[in-house]
Amino acid sequence: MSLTVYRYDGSFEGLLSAFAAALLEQAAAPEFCPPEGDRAGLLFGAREVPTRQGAATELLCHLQTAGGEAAPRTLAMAYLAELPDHELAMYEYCQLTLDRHECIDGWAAHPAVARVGDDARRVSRELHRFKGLLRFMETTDGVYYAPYEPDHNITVPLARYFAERLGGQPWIIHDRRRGLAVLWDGHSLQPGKVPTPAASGMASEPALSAGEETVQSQWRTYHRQIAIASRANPRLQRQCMPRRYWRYLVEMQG
Amino acid sequence: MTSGEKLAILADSAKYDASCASSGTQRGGSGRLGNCSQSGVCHSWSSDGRCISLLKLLLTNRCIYDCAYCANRRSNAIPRAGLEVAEVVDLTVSFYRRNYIEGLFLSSGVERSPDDTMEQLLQVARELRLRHGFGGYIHLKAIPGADPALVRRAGTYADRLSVNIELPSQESLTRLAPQKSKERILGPMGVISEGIAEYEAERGRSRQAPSFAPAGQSTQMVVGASPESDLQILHLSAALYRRYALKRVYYSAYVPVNDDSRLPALRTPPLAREHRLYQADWLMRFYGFQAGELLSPETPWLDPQLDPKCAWALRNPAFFPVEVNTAPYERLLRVPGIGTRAARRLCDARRFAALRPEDLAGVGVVTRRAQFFLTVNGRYLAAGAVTPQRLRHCLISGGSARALWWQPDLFDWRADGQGIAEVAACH
Repeated sequence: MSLTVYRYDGSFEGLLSAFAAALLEQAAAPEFCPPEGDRAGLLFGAREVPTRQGAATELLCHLQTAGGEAAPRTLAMAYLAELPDHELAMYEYCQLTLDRHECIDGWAAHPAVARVGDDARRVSRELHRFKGLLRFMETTDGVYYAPYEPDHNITVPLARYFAERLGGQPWIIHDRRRGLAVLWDGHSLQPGKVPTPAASGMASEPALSAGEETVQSQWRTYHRQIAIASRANPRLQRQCMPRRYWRYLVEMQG
Repeated sequence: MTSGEKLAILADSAKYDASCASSGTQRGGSGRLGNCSQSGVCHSWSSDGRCISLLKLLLTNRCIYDCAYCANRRSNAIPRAGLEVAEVVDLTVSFYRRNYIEGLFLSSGVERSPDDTMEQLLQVARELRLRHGFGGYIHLKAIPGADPALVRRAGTYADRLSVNIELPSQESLTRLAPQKSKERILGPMGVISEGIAEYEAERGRSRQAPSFAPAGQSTQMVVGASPESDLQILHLSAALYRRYALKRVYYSAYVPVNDDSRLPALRTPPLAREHRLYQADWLMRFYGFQAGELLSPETPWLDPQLDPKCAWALRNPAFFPVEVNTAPYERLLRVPGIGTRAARRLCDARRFAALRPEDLAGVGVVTRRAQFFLTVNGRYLAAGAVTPQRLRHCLISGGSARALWWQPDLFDWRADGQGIAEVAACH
């Protein structure tokens, strides 16, 4: 049995291209690794798979035909988790969906399906969480700025959500952990890379509008006043809103 | 007074309203400001652990009523304030733009008359919707005694309307809120449920039908300020869900805010009781339980140590064991340690292959509790002898089974323990 290692460029399209190649070649025991993960590659000589948009889209279409709309969505969400060594489970998920020609998301007892499902659920949980926890600040030029540090790479789906919600106002959502940002100018979403403050030596925060501090302090007042002292339960508060999110929460400052 | 100071007073006055739901409406962004998602979104949590999803305010805490349990009653010497319509609108919009909130929950003391107050609440909602194109969530209180025509108009702007039933019986209402009556509360509730029913019927015919409180109606009652039993409360809730098609009944543990001889002298709010009532309420709405199954005239109080589903399971051993691989969803739902999500995932997963004991934890079954009530492919799950004591210990929520192991005498075991021995026997 030959072991083939497919190396892709780290992107979702790249990974799908590698899957498409492995499926086509009916590889017996394929492995997939991103550019930096070269462990297997050293041993067996990894094959570079070029990223082809066409092959990626085609695979997603096949998945949708076989498993309905949920299948490509689950796969994409699992990818955004960016957890190490998730490729093989994702590949098996594709294979199973195509073989059985049905949506397999419910098959919780299958290890690969469970892994993909867990990853996808982590991402949608965090996505849902930040729909509430993201905080925008009004800057001097009228653009609202929202910095955050998510565990998973949720900025693009999060930006789509806010484009619908805050359609009339321009904003930037900035993932400071990954140096990614999406700008909404009122008409379209523009993703881009942002150098981390340390690397660029720039001021880390944009200048805030004259009214911003007042609104922030009103929100802090509200947050304090709405709590019922005789029901105090800081443990429950931390459980629902873990400390790692507090850094960007206006109400948890000062 | 600055609007910051007013905000401090009026948020403080609004904090006893339990509702924070922002779910139940699906509205796309109109391109102006805001939308609603079906599932609702929590934006923060306050230091009491309650979720914050809406800007919850009273328009004013000046009130002509003198309800015994209420912090804002007329005879209390507390700072009073009122916000202008424009101030509430501005706060809502600037909080919403920064994603602090999902929308507004506006209530009010009655400063002059119910109609006057209702008119002002209406004005806030109208300003937000029409002038600012606000598509976020709006929850308005319908003021008891207000003109039904005003309540109907409120429904055209609001996602949710609520009238607080305040106390679980007419007698308590007469005693503690003498200026309010059952009729004045149930009146607007009826108006709202009619409005919702008409809207739903019209929406069936045309998608352009003007909306009316699309996220439905809710209510709230204070628990522990009056003598009603849990059974009475659950029967009342069941009737409200049935008669007025309410989306939610909120229970608010009585917080002793006033010195009043008509009120019980509690040092802390009865939070554990509130929690049990919510659990029972959940069982009625999502698990197919009837109030009469959870409690009876002989045992009208929920067990403080056991959650109501475990308590039901201990009283109904003949129902068990349930076979994981064949039992219908409704039956799985009745097993302690299996919630709605785990039950759904079990049903999904077993379509592909028969489940094994080791698969259960992965779909969210709490095996520590469920093991005593399940068979997997005909095999009873719990290992070792199942004594009534062990069972009760393992079911007591939050209790460590091991620590309790050594003190079985601490817990009284009533006659219903008999049946459980039979469950154990099928092992």
